[in-house]
Amino acid sequence: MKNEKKNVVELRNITVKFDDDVILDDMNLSIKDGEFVTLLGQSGCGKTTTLRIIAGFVQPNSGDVLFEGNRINDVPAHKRSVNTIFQKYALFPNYNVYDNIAFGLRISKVPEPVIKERVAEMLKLVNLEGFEKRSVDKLSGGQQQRVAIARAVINRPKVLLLDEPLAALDAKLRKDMQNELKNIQRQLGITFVFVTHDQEEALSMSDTVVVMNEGKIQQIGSPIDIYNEPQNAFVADFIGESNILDGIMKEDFKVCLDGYDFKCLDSGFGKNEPVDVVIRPEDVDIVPEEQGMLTGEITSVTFRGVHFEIIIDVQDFKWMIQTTDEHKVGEKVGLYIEPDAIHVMKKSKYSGQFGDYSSYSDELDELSVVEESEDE
Amino acid sequence: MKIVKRLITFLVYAFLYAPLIIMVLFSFNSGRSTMVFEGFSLKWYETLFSNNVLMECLQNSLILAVTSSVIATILGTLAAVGVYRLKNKYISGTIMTVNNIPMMNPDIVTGVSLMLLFVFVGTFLGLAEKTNFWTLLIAHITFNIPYVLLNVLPKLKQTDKNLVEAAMDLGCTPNQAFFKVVLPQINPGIMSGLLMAFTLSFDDFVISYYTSGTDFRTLPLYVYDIVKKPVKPNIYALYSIIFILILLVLIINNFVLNGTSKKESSGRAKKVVSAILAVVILVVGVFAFKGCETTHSIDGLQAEYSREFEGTTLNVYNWGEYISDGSDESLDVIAAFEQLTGINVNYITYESNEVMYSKLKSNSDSYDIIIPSDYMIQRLKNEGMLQKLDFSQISNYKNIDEQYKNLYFDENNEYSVPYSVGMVGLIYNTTMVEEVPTSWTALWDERYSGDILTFNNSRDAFAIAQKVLGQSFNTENKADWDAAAELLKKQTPVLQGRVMDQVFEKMEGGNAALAPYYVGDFLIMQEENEDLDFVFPEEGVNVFVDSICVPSCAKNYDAAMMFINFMLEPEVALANAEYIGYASPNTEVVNHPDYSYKDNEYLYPAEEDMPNVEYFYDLTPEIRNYYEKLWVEITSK
Amino acid sequence: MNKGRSVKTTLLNAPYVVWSVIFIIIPLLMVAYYTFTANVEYYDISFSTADGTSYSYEIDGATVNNIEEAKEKALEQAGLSGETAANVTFSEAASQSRTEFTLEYFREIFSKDIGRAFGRSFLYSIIATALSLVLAYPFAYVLSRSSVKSQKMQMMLIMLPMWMSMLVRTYSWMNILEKNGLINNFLELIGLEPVEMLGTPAAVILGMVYNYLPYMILPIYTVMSKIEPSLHEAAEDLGCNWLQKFRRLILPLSVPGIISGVIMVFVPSISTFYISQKMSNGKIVLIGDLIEARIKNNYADGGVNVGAAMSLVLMVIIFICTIIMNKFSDDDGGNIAI
Repeated sequence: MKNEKKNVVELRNITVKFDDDVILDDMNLSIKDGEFVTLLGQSGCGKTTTLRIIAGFVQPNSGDVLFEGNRINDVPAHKRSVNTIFQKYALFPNYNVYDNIAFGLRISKVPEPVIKERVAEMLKLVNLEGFEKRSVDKLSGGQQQRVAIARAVINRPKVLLLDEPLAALDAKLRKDMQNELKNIQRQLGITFVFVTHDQEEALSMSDTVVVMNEGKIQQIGSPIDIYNEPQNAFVADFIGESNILDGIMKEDFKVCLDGYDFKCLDSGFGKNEPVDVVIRPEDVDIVPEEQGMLTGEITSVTFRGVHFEIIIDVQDFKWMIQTTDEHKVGEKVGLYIEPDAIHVMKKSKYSGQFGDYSSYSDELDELSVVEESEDE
Repeated sequence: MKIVKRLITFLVYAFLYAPLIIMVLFSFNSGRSTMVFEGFSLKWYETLFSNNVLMECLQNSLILAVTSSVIATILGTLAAVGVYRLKNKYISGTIMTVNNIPMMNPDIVTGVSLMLLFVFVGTFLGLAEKTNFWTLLIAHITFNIPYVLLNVLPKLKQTDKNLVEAAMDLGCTPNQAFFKVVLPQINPGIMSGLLMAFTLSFDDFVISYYTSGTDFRTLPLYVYDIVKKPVKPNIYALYSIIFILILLVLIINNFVLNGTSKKESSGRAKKVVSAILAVVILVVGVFAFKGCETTHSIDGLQAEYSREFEGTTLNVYNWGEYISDGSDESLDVIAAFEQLTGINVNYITYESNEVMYSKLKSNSDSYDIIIPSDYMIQRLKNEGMLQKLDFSQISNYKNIDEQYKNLYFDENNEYSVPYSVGMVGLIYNTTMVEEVPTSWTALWDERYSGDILTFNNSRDAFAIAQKVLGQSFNTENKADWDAAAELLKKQTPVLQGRVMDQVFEKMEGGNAALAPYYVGDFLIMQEENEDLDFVFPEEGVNVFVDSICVPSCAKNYDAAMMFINFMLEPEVALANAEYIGYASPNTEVVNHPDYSYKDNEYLYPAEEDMPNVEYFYDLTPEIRNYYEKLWVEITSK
Repeated sequence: MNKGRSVKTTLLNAPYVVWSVIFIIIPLLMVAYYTFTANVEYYDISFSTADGTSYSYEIDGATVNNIEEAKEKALEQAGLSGETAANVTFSEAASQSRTEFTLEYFREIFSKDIGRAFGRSFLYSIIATALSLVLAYPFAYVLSRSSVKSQKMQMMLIMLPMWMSMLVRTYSWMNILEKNGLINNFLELIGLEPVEMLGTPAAVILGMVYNYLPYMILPIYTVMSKIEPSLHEAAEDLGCNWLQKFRRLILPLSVPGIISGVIMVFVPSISTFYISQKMSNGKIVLIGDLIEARIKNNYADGGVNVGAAMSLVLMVIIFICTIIMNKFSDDDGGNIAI
């Protein structure tokens, strides 16, 4: 960040309950002007609710919503200078493309010639020139997406809220739209608050990622921080693949795993404090058995194109390792880990829940994706 | 397989459309029959628009259907939005359950329950006259709302919730969001709800039957009511027009839809159709209005009346089809009276003495003139519900035949002026009976089994059995009634049916051999079927006199006297006698050279042919209830 | 959550809620009220004889025609006659009325005759419903499998007769079925014996089926048209023959439509009074006819109460039937809508 920017949106001690379910639990979040912030989490984690609080569709039970320093809890949605792009676009079926895009300006009684000019500008921005008269029902998913973007940004909002806008698109189109959204954000220089459950999307697009779970923020940071320095087992597991082991911090820069003392770069823990240790699969090298710090037997090998995914049973803990070398099931091998590959975390309530690949299967993974896409 | 499919489709359509085709066909019949096609003619269409009453009823139906469906659509749409927004599942569940009641409930229960409410409220608040439109409107709105709600609610649920949020997000207030975004989405639901409500309302008979009074009659009520003057081809003609119009709209609808849907959304096509529909309704409405505007001459009327009561409104409550109304170039009595005196007549009708009685009891300040039958006059007089008449203001009373004065129900001639006299007798088809019947027992004759009709009206049906048994009509001995009931039960196996208005069609069409009915109506039937003849059975017959009275609650006493006097004018009485077809107690009529029933042997039998006659007397409520229960026993066997 | 919003929701609901309470709930309570109360009219007669003895009687209004008769009856009850009777002075003689709780009307409808009418209505409407189903089901199936364009047109054609007055359509049937009606004329023409049709139970049932058939077709069709063509193909692909496909696929999926159709035909059939009256020549009396007749004929002296009692029982029967029917499906899909 060049010069320290002002907070455009601030959430302070926000709590939201639906009946007795706590959706957001004492949440605090500041969003800086011009930032691309992503709220990342599984369905039900409260990310969409956070977005709807900013938009004004949900009133928090307690806490303050600030917009450019002013409390806006009582400002209704239609008076807030934020705009939203909805998951299923919510284009008005009774209007054509032009009228959809012009909608916001017409509501604020902008003169028609100005509207014409600005709609044209928008259509150009989203590459939909010539589609003015088209009925929105007759557009493809990607085109609808573009209309939704144009309709929102034509109002020149300070903040644009995007609620899983790419979820309904196929993989290829999603990639293109990611780039396009990023470009639009850069061109317009407005703040984007983006909600997704797709960690890859979050990492590739955002300036800041907010990882949420169970109504609480787990970690806020740049994509690189989030990936490399996860704060707890949940974040570590949710972002990318990770082996998370129980370890004991013998002393600073020395952690014991499965009876082997590893050198590491972490310090500041108590003597012999139990900790969670995260080791990313790509950071483990497979070496001949006798050279390994730990030894185990390969139980599964899956070819993934760029690399192999290998599951190794080490004293009943299943490690996942990604390597470009081919190995065979049943082979006994050693594991070699550099100190900078080891990330030590304090124990948290998520300890022990994640990071073991003993029940790993592709199928389960896909199932959970399907569940997530059914939004809260 | 294909043949089976075709066959099923054909069968269903043949079944659904057969009666409609028959209806259209017979609307072109040159005769009055709806069973024998006598030749092609357009006369029923021609008379259609000059039939004031029919046109007024059509107009009423349209007014009612439009207002009730529009109000129901507004209320129902509001309610749908309300229910949709309700967070509390129990409240919305309860509302929806209540909403289902009018749909699940039989029409008759809905009708009866609303009637009870209106009667109850009417009695307690003493509501003013002319509330009939409002009760009908309320009833129709009530049964229409649920259909609107059920059409709109699913559309609301289908509407993407995010649309409203998107609109508000783009700066709409919640109201703007509703009108700009939600309304267009649910519009098809609202429109089909409106259409459905209109259809249901326009066609409703059962609920209207219970909630209407008599001064606002809708088309279905009119169709149901055609008792005295069967004009079915007329009705067929009207409904044929409606049928063809709707068919036309549907065909155009389909044509236009198919033509444009490829390019544009069907929205415009639907608008076109709605517009056509609206035009059609408008055209029919205008025709109806034109029909109502026809004026009738009062030439030949020599009477002079003062205009001192100009502008006052006189409420006249009479039997349906019981006054000359201007049809077939007759004198429009009401119009003539209005023209002469400047008094506005609010003319309302009833279908039976009992209906009139209960109306009078529950709605007591509404009527200036009533025309009840003998026994009902007795009851009203006994209960103090009649006023004495001022005969000094009724100079034409001198026209009344002496034999109709001082009758049992008004021994001192204080309360009533005879209007019309009738007798019951036996109508028979000469080609279907083996010998001329002379006794009521012919109605039990097994030789004519399946060809015998009788009254579908308890007291008239009992009367026949009572005469066979040699009883009086007015016995208060329950055993007598039991005996008569036994006899009536024995009649059931030989009966073709128990009918009232259907008797015209049955006898005219030669569908039945024997039927008891009123002599005036026999004359109408005979015009259609020369094989019919009439006899007063030897055991004796019922005679009735309907007389003009003024209820004690009348507000315009002097205007009422003027009206009574007018009704006794020779020309007026003649027109009425010609129209009604019953005997007239007015000597000026009986002796009038133009009177077509002059010296008619059935209406005015000679002294020696005069049958034994007996009047109905008013019976105690206990007896009335008793024979009604017996009647249920007889008919539900 | 948001107070302003909930106030608005209340305002939106208020008109209809008020309306339904006044014009749906209260009228039904009125039905119950009339069922269980009687308006008793009586005469209060007090008089004293010349010797100073005073008497006071309450004479039931149902047994006398007017106040004079009531006075006579009071004298009779006092055992006074002749000269003594002539010399009494009436201190009070007035017609009064009061509302009393009674089970009389309710008991009356459980009489054999009314019970029979209920039974007959039930039987006829069940037969009519079954016949409608038999006609409507294959028709709806064929309709749902025809081209979109044809479906649209046919839907209109099915609904068109509903625009015509029920009364007129019934009249028209009478012309066809009458003793000298079109069918018999035709039979005679080809040298066959005429058949008695009008006035038979079959005619009444035909009237019911005819009038309410569209109500059976529409919901079944609605449900069937929602069965995706691919489902048919899938069933065939899995080796179902026609019968199996019907039993395992079409029938279960069309149950909600059948149920709404059955209810929508059964309810008006069981309560009709016009159709039965006309198609049976007034010979077959259904419960609707009884309600109609009692209310019309002796409204003021108990008829309306008996009518209300019959309506109440009819309503309860129908609600029970509806609840039982709805047990067969938890989905109330297939509601009729244009």
